[in-house]
Amino acid sequence: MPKNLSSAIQTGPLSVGNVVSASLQIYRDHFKSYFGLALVGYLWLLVPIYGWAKYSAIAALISRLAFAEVSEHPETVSDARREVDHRMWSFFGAGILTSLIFLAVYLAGAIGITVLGLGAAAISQQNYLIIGALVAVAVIAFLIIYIRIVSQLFIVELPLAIENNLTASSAISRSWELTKGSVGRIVWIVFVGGLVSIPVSAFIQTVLAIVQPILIALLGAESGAFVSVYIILVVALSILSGALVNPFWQAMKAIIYYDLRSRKEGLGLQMRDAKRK
Amino acid sequence: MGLFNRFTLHTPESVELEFTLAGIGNRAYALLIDYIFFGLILIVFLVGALIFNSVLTEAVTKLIGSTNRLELWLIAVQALIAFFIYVGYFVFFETVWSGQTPGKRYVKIRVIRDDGRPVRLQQSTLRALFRPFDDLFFIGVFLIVFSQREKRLGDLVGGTLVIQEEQPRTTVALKVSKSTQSLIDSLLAEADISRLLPEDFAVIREYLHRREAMIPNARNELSKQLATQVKHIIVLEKLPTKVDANLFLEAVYEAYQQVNR
Repeated sequence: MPKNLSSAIQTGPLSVGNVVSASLQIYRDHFKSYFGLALVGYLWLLVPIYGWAKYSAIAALISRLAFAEVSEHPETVSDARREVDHRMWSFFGAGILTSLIFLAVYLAGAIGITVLGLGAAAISQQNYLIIGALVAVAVIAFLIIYIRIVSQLFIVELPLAIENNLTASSAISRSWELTKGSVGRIVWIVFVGGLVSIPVSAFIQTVLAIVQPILIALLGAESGAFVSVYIILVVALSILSGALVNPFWQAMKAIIYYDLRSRKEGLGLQMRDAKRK
Repeated sequence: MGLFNRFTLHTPESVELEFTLAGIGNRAYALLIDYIFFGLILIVFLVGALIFNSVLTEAVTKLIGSTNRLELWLIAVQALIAFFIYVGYFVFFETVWSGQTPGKRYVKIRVIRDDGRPVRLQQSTLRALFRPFDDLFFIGVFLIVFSQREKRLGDLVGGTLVIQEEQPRTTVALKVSKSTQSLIDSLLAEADISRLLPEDFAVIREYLHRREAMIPNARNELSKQLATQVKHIIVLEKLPTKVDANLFLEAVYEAYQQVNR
């Protein structure tokens, strides 16, 4: 019985479910390290501008580490950090650019749908059914376009973190190029990933729901003490839950990036002698 | 590959079977698809039940004058039927399709028993009966992620596992033209194909499988790289004529198979 030859090759193209499972597995294997990094990152978010840039650098760092794991060339945190830190402002810039793109698309969509709705109302007078149907179709079309754009810009920080000589805008085009034709898969991956991470958010919500009445009973609903304690609690829980879930998504982006490069550029296909170099 | 949980089964006949466990991603995906299907079936049933209820209550009101809590009975029976459809969907498919529901089939995973044998009615029913606990309170997700063999409550009780189906690597169907054949012959004559290890062959085969989906630039780049590396391995100084890297790799692929037939 011949030995399973596929074990000689690296991970290779992955199915939707396997991407999610692998993200979780990589996160679990390096839980302390990734969670620690994410916690620091989320604490940095409290500092405006510089802190936000720090946060995006740390998020990219986690992705780079995860990519190193899945492509079987593991990197130490300090090595990866060295590569990522001097590009910190590029990550921040990429984040701002993508947010601007989303905002622009959203505004265009909102304006377009409003115009459409008003135009339809003007033309067909009181025929609410036609107006409603038109608007519904327009909203669905807009959602599809919006989801498509979000998916194609999903992995922007990966090229920035892994490849050399990229700027924020060229990373955006790189992400766009790589994800062409794979939007459906990415949407499914994100959806299934979201399903799997529901338990965490559900848990946090339950904790909040339990603690709130207790606090009210202890401190009185109107007192300043209650409000400040509650706010601190909400912020602390948000930071904790964000830091808990963030590495999972960063790892997922890294694996999607790896998977795309594997399929489209044959990443990892090298003969054994070349591998040894 | 440390990323996915593999485990080895030793059958009573002293055969070792290696399996890869399905993983939470695949199982969540399959469940999503199954719930969509089940939801559709349930909607059809509910619509039918609603129509049935209204027709029946009208007819009974005409006959007797009042419905005498008939609606309550109808709803109770229909709720029970809905539950049976819920359990039955999974039990039916897992039994008839040997461990696969439509969702699992799409995602290419399968339920088997702990000892590797296919599931039967008992195991499937036990699994399905515990599903409300697993799915509603996400106990299943936690158990799959953190337990040793990715067993949720239903798996623990039914003694089952969920595995990925192995994808057998098919041979690459290549058109061997006359010129390729002569290239193959010259390779067999001049180069040392026997220095090509099975792993190298696997990489070439993997490339030939994946090249269709690759971006043309990257494909050309990669084929040239691989061709150079292969030439180095089989100790071929230079080719008789200028040959495209892709064709070269195809020829090596065929030559290797001929040598090792």
